[in-house]
Amino acid sequence: MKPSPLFLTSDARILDLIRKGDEEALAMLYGSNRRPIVKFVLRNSGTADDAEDLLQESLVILWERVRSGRFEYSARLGTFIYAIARNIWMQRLRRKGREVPGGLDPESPEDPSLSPLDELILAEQSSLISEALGRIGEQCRKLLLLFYWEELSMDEIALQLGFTNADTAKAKKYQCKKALEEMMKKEMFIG
Amino acid sequence: MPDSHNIHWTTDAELLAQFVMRHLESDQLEKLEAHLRGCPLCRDAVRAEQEIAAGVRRAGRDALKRRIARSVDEKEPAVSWYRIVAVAAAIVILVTLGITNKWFFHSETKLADSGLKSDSIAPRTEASPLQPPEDKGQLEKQQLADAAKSAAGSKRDQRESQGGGVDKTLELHEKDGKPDFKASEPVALNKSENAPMKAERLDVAEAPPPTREIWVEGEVLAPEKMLRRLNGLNGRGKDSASQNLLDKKSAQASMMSQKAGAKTEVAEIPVTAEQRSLSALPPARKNETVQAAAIQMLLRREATGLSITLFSDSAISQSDLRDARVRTVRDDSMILLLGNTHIGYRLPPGWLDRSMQQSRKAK
Repeated sequence: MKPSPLFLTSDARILDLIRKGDEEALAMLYGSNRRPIVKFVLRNSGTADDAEDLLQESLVILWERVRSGRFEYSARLGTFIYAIARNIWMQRLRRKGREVPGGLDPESPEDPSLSPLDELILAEQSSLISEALGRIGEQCRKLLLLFYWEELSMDEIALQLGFTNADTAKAKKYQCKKALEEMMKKEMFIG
Repeated sequence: MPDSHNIHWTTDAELLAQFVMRHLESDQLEKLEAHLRGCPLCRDAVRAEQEIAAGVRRAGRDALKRRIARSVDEKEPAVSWYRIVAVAAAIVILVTLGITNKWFFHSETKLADSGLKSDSIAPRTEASPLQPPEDKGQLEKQQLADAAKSAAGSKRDQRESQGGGVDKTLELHEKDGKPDFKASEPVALNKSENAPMKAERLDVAEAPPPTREIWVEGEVLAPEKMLRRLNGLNGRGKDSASQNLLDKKSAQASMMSQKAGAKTEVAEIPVTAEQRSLSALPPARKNETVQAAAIQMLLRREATGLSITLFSDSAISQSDLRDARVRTVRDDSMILLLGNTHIGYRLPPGWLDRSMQQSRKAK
């Protein structure tokens, strides 16, 4: 069944905001989707904090899909967000050794095959990179985020960050990445 | 694609990034992967690029999550107006019900006392309207319960009439035995797009409640492996002298990620550690099949943290035992830091949570 025109209008508006990079859209979605997700998590061995985290995670996934052009509108956004949240929660329950029904989304962000140790190491490593990103300078931070996270092309990055062309953006990205690597090495070896 | 790929294509930074982000055509990917199989140096370069990409992505996600939370906190008033209205409405309904009941009871009692029939003015109830004074409270409770039941029933009917929403479609997929539910392809609502989503209950097999004392078997992680992963930028190992520094740095990073509200919390729990020889193992544990690199450990929850008894014949210094730390990233696992050795343990779900709660209370 196709989503009704009413939802189509409000969803289209929200999707448009996300495409423009307006995070206000996520706050709107948060308010309208909080209740069903909190209910679902509370009924399935979770806490209110788990639910908040889950909702944020789902919104981030929606954001990534829409921004990278991998989002297809096949049901209303509330349904999409609920479906993602449900899937992530099932994965988490599975990892806790509980039997839950249903399949897994291979694209979802958590990898159930990771050992606790791998997860700890990855978390620490990401923390180091995240910390280094905070010190690398605003332009480099934005550039690396746009490239690796938002997966924008060099032309788009050049346009967003005001570089003369894609080649300049590419050269800058190279410098920024080297700077990040140097910072990480320094962090680990010299302290 | 330049010809140099056949030697070390990973020296092309752009190609490397495109490969890691899977932005290449499948035939091109296959060629590059074929080269990787025979080139350890290139594999290191790919892993380093993957780690940078993953770290930046994670940083982006965590930052966005924090911004969402902050934006919602700023918008949300301490007590929302609709909650105030809902509570006020509930109070009015309860008070009205109470007054009405009381009025009816008074009327009934008066009528009964005066010997008149009450049918014309009193509501019909299952119980006799002419209750003795001591049963009034009981009847009042029954009437309130009936009212509540009827309200709940009508709410449920309303929900059902609006359709089960997403849940019913999901259940249908599962009942058919098709694990085809994908977040990337959310299912459409089957009845009404306006239907509120009913909070479904998954058929979860609950784990039995954990006991205060448990035996666990840990996996010893070689420091070099830990270092290589942490140092993933260039795949180089490090001398053991820098291990402590690295530990300190990673601990700082963990603290920072905690402060910053990152999703994965790394928490430390106070521990008291002691060592015993393998011969001190209880007979039942001696018969357990234990992997070569594993260390058996008895964990006990105490009011102030964890008490750990390690069963090993390896020499562990007193200072390492004294400085032993436990870090956890999830509630079903933990890492014991014992000098330069990192040991990972799996725990019954929720077991560690209780220890952390106890430890917080003790503080």
